[in-house]
Amino acid sequence: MSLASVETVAAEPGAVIAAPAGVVRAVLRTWSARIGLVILVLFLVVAVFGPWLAPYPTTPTSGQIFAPPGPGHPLGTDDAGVDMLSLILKGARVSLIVGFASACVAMIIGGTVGVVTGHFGGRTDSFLMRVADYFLVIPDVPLMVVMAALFGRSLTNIIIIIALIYWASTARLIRAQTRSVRERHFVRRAKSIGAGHPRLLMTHIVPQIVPLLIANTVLMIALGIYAETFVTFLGLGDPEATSWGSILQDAFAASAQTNGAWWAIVPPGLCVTVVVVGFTLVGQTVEEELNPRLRVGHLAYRRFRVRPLGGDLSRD
Amino acid sequence: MTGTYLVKRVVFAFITILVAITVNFVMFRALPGDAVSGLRCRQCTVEFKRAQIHDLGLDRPLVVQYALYMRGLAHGDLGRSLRAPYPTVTSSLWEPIKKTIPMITLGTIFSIVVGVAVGVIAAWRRGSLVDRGATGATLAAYAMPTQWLALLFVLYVAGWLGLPSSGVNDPDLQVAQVLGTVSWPDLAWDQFKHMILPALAIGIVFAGDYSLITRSALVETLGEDYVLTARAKGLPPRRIIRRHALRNAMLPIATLMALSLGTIVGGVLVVEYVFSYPGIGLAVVEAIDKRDYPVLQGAFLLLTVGVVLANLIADLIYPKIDPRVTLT
Amino acid sequence: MTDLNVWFDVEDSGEVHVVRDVSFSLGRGERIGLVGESGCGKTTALLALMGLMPPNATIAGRVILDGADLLVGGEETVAPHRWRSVAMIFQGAMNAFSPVHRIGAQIVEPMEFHGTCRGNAARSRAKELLELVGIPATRFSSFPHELSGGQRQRASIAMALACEPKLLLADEPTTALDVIVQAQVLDLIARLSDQLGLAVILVTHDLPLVSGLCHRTAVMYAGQIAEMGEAATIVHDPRHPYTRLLFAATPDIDGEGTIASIPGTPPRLDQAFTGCAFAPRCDVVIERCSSLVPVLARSGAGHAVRCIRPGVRP
Repeated sequence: MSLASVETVAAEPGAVIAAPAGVVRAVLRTWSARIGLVILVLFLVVAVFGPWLAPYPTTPTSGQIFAPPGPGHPLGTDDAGVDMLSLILKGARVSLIVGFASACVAMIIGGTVGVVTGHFGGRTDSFLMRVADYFLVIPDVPLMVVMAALFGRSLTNIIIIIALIYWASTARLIRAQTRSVRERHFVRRAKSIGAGHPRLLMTHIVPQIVPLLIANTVLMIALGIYAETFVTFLGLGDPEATSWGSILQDAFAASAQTNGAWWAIVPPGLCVTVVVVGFTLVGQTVEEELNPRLRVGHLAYRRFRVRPLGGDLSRD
Repeated sequence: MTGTYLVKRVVFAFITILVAITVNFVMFRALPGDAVSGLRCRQCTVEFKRAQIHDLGLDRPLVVQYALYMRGLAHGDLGRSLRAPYPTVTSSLWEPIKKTIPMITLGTIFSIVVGVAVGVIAAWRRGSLVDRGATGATLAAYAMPTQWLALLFVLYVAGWLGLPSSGVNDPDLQVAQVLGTVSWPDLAWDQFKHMILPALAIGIVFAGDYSLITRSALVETLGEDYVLTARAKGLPPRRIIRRHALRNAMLPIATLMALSLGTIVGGVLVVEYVFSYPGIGLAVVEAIDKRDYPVLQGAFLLLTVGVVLANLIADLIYPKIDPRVTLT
Repeated sequence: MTDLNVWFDVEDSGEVHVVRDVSFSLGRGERIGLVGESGCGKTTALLALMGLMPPNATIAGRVILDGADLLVGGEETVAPHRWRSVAMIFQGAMNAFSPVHRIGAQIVEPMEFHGTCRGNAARSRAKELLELVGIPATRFSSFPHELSGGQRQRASIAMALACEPKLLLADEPTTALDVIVQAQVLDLIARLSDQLGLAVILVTHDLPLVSGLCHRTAVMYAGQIAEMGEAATIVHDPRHPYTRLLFAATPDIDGEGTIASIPGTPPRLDQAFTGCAFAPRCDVVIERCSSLVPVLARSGAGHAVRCIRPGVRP
């Protein structure tokens, strides 16, 4: 899945950095972003309060194996008799945590590399960008899979691995933005006054970078959640952790699909899809606000309107 | 196409492959523990494992191992599988690759054709209900975990359409094939039936991706001056979109598509796993499961090389699409 | 005789009245300059003339060519005339060409589509046109990025002439070019106009250009025509305060005189005007100016001014 790379590589660094208030307003204004926000808030609540909201604890089994949805178990039970709804609520936590954490790490790595290479240039720049290019070309899932296979199955590992795969596109984006900011007048002026690098970076450049970084991170979170499902599905997830990806994997391992146990399959995947859509909607809106590509189209399906002249118009 | 551009891209691809090989090598040798100790099999006693280690040369210094590995690569030797009867990695991967390629091609063609078509329609009718519906649908398609879609297919579609949901050949047909009593078209049709669901699972998810890319690139292009000029020339909208806007949008679209080539592999892995389709994806999964590291390493290398080559081909196509590329 | 009569009464883009009551007529080979600040609606007027409006626009008015009203049926009636009767060159012709197609092909395209000529005939005609604008015919197979800015602008003129239009709309054709090239391009337009009997509407914010090139001038402000008349008259005897100030704000080539800019900003276009649109910035404004809506009235032979105090100086 190329979520981050699609959005971030396609966006040209904008010259206008909207104030945070403007961004928030834009997010609230756009329909698509509103939907996304609702989704996110909903799932955030679920993730935080999940285990308490769950009707059943998940360790002792509470029902029959693969019981279809019915009284007491609105979403049925899984292959061990655990209530599906409770599982999903519990799984939300891990999935979202992995998403957030990996996005944060990727943001830190990518942001730092991007700013450093964009600002200083030179040999470090070429070298680091080669490395980034390498990470961009290498297929992501195989690398994740291999690394997970080699370094062990744990949540921390997965988070780090995901971040390691996806930092490169963030770095590219931030680098481009840093370079464009560098050329701008106020930075040049500050430099000519004699501002040293640290000062330049902190007070001038970084504030211009942060909004874009945040927009990118939002999209990264979606990517992290998505990527986690792949790693987990292939059996390399943390055996202790319950995530939507692991629920799906368990269902598959127990051949839920051939047994018609749709309630074990549909909910976890649906949750992932909805959450990813939510993050994408919000992230896209934020990015559009920062990089306005508001173009008037010169060609459209509908036509202009013609109004008949009214009144008396006598001209010479 | 200038010579420098061509050379640069080839060199880059070559270096990337070299780096991939090296990193591959380092990763697998840097295991906590080593490749053999994780083996679980009936005869894997301590002595056996020690013998294996010696056999595989894992007790030699790292640099020597690297040199040997590179030499082996040059001869197309990727090592040997760790599972009885220890076939070469190359031979154990060859058949699966042959199965995966047609399936992937089918899926990719589908995703490009459908994705671009939907993207164009959405861009053309920008802002309308059609656009919003299409964009919503494509966003959902793109956000779906591929394995989830595959599982849904097995759950609902396979039975309904009478399509098989595992393997690549009907076992009866296989027998008939050996006996020589089945015709070639029947065989091909059977293979196709087995390929179509996995291909579609991958295809739909990527169609979503490509559709979003196309729409966004096309919307951007439609705001360019030459589109206004074309309209001023009195050309009909269809023609403007096809000849002017789309042609110009092709470069960003192709660039982004090439960037997502790597992620197709992930889809392959997972989909073949779900459908038990004996391609390279399934081989990888099995290798993981059995801790068959040489096979895993070899497969990873092949996949990486495949993607790098695909990217190289894309790089070489760019100048044909956009004449300005030769200058970069 | 090509008689072009243009009336734009109302044009809303989301309820913004961008062009108000713009009308003039042009004869064969006649050139008129449309002058004004950015955003005064001159480009929009041109585009509306060809019906190149986005879906959120509403047009009212008549564009009469040889007796037929082009806009009466909206897109349907105006589309067939595009390029055949009226052609346009744009500001920044850099982007008027599609970067992935060759120049020659882009010139040939409208010819073949409108049926002016086809195949080899079209190609040789395209080459002729290129020569006509001063570009060697060998450039037929070049891509747009292989030409200089000035060449591209001239090529776009060649492209505009492809279907032998009667009217050429030039939207700030020289803005992005350096001075020498500017002169060449304008000279070319004048020559072609005289040679081919091509009527030209030249839109620009640069006043001195107009006097050299055009027979008549129309000055636009806030979507309306403020003053219109013979080019020479407008230069020497501007009657509308805006025109006068506009000239004053333009540096003289001798470098004499002070450069004054007009204080204030152009008015918002989403409301009707109470009184004269220019009143807030006018230097001879009186009480009545803010309450009385001035109309375009005759003020001397072939000269019209939208002001109740034409010719008055501070």
